[in-house]
Amino acid sequence: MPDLKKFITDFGWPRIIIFLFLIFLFMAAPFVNVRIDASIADVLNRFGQSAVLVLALVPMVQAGCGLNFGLPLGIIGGLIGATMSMQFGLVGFAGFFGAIALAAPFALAFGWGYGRLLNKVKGEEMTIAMYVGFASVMLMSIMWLILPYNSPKMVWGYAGKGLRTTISVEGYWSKILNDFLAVRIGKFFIFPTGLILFVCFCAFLMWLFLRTKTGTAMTAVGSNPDYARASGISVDKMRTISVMLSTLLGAVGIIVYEQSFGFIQLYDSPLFMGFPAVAALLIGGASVNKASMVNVLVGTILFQGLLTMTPSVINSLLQNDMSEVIRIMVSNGIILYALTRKTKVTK
Amino acid sequence: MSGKRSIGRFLRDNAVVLIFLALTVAAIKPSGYSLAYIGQEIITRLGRNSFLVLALLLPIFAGMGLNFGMTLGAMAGQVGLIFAVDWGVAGWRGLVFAVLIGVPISVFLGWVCGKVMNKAKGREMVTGYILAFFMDGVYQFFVLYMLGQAIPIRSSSILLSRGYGIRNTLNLQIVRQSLDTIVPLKIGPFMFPIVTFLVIAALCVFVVWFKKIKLGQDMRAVGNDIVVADAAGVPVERTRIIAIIISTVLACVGQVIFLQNMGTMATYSAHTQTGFFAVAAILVGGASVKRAGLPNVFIGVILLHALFVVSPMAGQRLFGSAMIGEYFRQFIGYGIIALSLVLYAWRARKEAAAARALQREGEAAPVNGGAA
Amino acid sequence: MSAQTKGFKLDPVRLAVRAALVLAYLALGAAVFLSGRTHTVIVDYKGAEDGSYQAVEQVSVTVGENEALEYMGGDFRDKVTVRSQRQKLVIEPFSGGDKIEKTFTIPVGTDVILLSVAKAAAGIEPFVETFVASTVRENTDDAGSGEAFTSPESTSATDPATAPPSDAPPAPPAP
Repeated sequence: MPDLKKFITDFGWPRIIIFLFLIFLFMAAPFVNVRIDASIADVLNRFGQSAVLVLALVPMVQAGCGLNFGLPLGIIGGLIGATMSMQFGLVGFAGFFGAIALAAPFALAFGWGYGRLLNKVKGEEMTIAMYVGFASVMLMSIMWLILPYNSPKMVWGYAGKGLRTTISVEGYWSKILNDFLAVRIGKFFIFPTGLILFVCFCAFLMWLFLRTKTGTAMTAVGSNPDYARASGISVDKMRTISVMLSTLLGAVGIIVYEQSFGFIQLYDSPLFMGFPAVAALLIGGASVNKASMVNVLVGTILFQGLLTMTPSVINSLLQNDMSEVIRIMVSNGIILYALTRKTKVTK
Repeated sequence: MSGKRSIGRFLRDNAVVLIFLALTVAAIKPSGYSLAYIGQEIITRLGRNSFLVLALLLPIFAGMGLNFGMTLGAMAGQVGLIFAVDWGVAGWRGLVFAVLIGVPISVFLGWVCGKVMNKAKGREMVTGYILAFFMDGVYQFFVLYMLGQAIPIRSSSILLSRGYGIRNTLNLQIVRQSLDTIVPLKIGPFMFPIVTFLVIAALCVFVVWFKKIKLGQDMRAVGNDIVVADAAGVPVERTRIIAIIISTVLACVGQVIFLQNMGTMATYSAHTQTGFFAVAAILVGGASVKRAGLPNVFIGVILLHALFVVSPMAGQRLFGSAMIGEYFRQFIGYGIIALSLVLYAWRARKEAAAARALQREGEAAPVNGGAA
Repeated sequence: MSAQTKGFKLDPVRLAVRAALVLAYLALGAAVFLSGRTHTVIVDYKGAEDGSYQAVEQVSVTVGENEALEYMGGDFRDKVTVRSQRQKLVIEPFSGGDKIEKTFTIPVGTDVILLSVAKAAAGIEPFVETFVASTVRENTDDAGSGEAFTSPESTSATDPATAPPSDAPPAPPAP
């Protein structure tokens, strides 16, 4: 009994409720003619789609920079890479990895500047991160209009310039990871092997990184800055590395997302992409200053499961479209819950 | 020497205002608008927005930063307006009716918001921001599913065709500009919404008075240093909750004033930008997270909205695309918030470091290092 | 000090003040509600079908604070909006004959009333009646339930406020 109690306080009521709710949704699904196998395939697919974006939050949380609401900055890096890859006509795996390679320098540069900025504003990172992210999305919106892209697949047909709001990656690298070694079982179930492998690979790399000398130093900075400083670790440097890593992973994450989704979404669509990722990480059991690979994977599965199942099940159950409201309340509720936990504010 | 230094200091302290002033002045010419047009727009927008921006002041006094939770009050005001329109309460009476409905709701929401923020001391801003998102879900649930089902709505013309839930756009014809035009005043080419200005002036008087009374003093004390205030017997948590409640109620009234001027209400999105515009305005006016006053509000509204008026046209003329102007305007809005938050946090750290250095000097021969 | 603030329930003066404030709040709400409540008045000019009272023609009709309506003759309805419940009706012949002045009261819960000018001129009380939406429905050939305010579709047809404006009168029923 005491074990259970401890487990509940550790894990937190909101997470347990969400978990039970998800189980309820899966149990209710057959009664409202929602196919379980199709749903699971959908959840897996969406898990792979967004897991890297969630993973991108981990370094900054570990280094004590809080939840990276500035994720849009990394996403922008990814978008630059993706559009450039298409502009150069790279197709297939070359296109996908080309996009990542092209995005990396931008993401790292953005991350470096962004990290330097956050070092100057310790304690206020989250609010500032949010607005830096927003501002950069808007600045890039102007850039999408005036940068000299000219691939007819990407620019507005009549003007011949300015990128479209959504660009299809069909014929370039659409579903390149999803279809790699994909296993089809039955009519409705497809296991996106390549996608899941890629996610696991990224998570493994991150796990490995957190165990290297730099990684442990970074965690030390997050958990106890004074101690870290005393043992000769450069706090600012570690924080900058964490931000650069986070931004880079954000860029990779959005490219993974796009190949599965099939479209590149530009202009103001990256604005709020950081929030679902944050919610997923927190649902997985992370706190504002501690996150692990388990948090990432469990959180993404739970959150995406919720996003997939609520529309289909709730809508057929209640005969209305309440799922959007539920999504808003759950994802923001969990962020709110994490923010109000008693944790030491890093100064 | 000292003169030079004070100029430098002036530039530094007012960096945001000056950058903005320069931007706006630079954009006036390419926009092609006449000064009279811009003047009238600014007068209108002063009436429309000032009240909302004033709602931000009290939480800043109380050291809670920029109250992004003011969106909650805006939602309450919108619920009030929905009922006013539904019952056909017209004119300024309709506005009073809407406010009377909205105030109890916003007191409750403000209390919730204050409670939540007390649990998240040190990150009130981001908490308020997320809380506004969360409450947006509750608002949608209420307006989209409850109204017309659990709560009867009389006039089917404001309902969605499925029979419940309010339409995406609510026509506020019956209360449109009813506050602005109670006493029409035209001076030269300019129309003044004189009653709205009087309401705003009354709120300014309230703010000045509030700073002088005990509660206001307590609020400043809490804002300066929670620990010291607590030691001095100030009920910290209670004072903070009161600051947020007042702010939320003012936001409710402000949103009603804002929407009566607009004349239509985007039911599901009108409130989402409220906090953003208000916060951007007060920061443009030179306020910081910890320090703000009445002048910041008005300078901010004038500068921000002057730029908002001219930037789409300037974008069109300069780049041949109105979209660029629109994106530029949003970039400026978000960017200015980021910039002033950064400048403030930076300065605060510097000052803290300077204070530490001073203290060390004062202690003559302190233990070397300490907790630097 | 704190005992006093905590135990305000025991303090009758504070309680009375609070109760008075709540009452004042509610009273203000009621006042603005009653005085701001708008009603739609449909002004009907036609006489009785059995000829018990006649339509008055060539008159100007003023309802509340609205501008005067001018009626020449024919089967015709006007629509005006009034605020608050007690309203004045003035019927004035163009010929400069006797002015008829009447007051009438609209129930607060009523959105639309039908005002018969002919009845008012003939001195028949009451000359206003709560407008039943089905009256319009017959005219607009809109079959369906008579419950106007719960009908989900075709809102423009069921809501009297957006019913066809007076300058484009609905097709008259057969004489």
